Amino acid sequence: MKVAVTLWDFLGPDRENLIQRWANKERLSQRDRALLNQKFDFLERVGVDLALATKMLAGPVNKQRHIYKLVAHGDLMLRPMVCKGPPQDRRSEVTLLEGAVEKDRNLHPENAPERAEQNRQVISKDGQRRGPHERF
Amino acid sequence: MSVSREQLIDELRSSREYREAYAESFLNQVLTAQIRVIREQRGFKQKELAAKVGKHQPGWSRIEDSGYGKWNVSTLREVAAALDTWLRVSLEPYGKLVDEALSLSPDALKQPSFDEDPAFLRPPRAVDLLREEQDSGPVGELRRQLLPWLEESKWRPEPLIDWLQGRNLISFGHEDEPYRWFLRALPAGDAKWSWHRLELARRLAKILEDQPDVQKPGRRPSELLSSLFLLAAGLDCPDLLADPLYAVYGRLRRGTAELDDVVRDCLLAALTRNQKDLRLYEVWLRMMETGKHDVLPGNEYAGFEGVTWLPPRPDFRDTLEEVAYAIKLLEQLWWKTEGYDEAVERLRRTLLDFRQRYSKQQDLAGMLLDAASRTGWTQAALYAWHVAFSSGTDDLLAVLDFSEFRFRATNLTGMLECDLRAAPDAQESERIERQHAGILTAGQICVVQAGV
Repeated sequence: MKVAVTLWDFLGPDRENLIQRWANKERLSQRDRALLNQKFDFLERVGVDLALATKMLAGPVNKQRHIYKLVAHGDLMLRPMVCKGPPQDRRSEVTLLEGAVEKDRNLHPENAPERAEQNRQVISKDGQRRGPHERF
Repeated sequence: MSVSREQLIDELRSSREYREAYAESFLNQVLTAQIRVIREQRGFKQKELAAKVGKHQPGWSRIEDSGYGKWNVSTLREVAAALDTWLRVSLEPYGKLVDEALSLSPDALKQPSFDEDPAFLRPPRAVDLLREEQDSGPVGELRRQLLPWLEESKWRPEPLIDWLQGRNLISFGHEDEPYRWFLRALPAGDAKWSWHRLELARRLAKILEDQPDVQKPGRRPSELLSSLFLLAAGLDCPDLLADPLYAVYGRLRRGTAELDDVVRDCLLAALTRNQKDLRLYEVWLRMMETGKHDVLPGNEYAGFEGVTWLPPRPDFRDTLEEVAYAIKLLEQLWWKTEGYDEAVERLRRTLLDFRQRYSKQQDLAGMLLDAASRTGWTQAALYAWHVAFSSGTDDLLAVLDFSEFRFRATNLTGMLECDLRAAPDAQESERIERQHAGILTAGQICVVQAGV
């Protein structure tokens, strides 16, 4: 079956998957992992437009015009930050840039959108700083 | 990489909490997405539909919010009615969740309105179609004879049985057999004749259910059976014909029916073109592995063709894997034999036909290197060949210019460096390097191989 979107994860300079590192640090529950996996499976198959239309993706976040947050109401209010592309086809690729959760309507880390934008720029310059998305 | 069936099954098996959360989230996503997709399909704005169900626009907006999750059946029934559909609520096993999660796409969420629903379309009337009939040759003549019979509600099989034997039928001369004229009279892909073509398949299925292979009707039963099977092959209508044809095959295997070689050949063609599940996969594998079959007169090519006509799987890559495995089998069989070039050419022709049937499949560029990294050049070759054609270019080597391709190759190189650093010793490091070099060159070699 056709996949509408290819998913990528942001990698550290040593190619460590920083999205997985965030997930491990947050000690995601089974429920949290199931929700994230389902939502990314859905995004992969229906594409960004429908994910935005059904508010699974929200954004752009704050003043970062390339950054969107995925909304998952699990045991934690999960809000991983993503962008379309970069640097390749912005319609058919999405990259997970930064892990984040929401508490009392505030993002944690507070500057998650800015960090996500920095990570996006890193990938734009160096394609090797992202790898195939790993499941939660 | 996209989740595989096995991976998703393992995850859902891992705990009750996991599968319940996955299913709940899936329901919320799919329901809201479907409401959105169908609303847009109908060309309605949120405000218009909100008014239909007695809500304000923000109320409707909430219905399309996947995070909302608090719909009640009564509201959903109103939403369904507003979108000219009906609401179905049912309890499902988790296995179905796997199928649905993997086969999801925006198009799969669309539903026709009542007026567009094919189930309620009235068949075009033969009298109207024939009034417009321009063809004064044999095809037109045959339509004038065939269409009224196809619209008879109380029909008998005898006319078709007679016609297929050339009796009581307009004279076509001897250049072609009657079944070929039937297929010309009701061409596939022409919506004007699609209802009558389906009806012919439905009636042919009924005739096959009466076991003509055992009853042997007509004066020359072998010729009649051959025509019935070849008509079935040409109609290519698995939903209606797969089961009765498989029943014929079953009787043949059990020895309750006897068919001569020519008729078996025709049955093989009909079975090949009318597969709705994987029941015959073992038969095709046996033909490819041994060059023969104990019941059907098939060889390696017949087996390969059978595989290329397997029904598409929910995950299209499974279909490609099956075809790729078949290529691999045959390549091993023919490698370094005298007929290798000719054999490859025949395979290529079959694959071209396969590609035409699946020309809508796009987005395979990324699969090329994924396939090469998981298996060998045969899988990669198949993908490359798909990518080349689906990209709409005749220059197969242009595939290498795909930015997607280059980008992934760069990523793989990065992974190689990472793997090398993690290698425990020089031997392992050498093995990894060899494997990755193979992956990258396989990508290039396979494009050339596939596009000879």
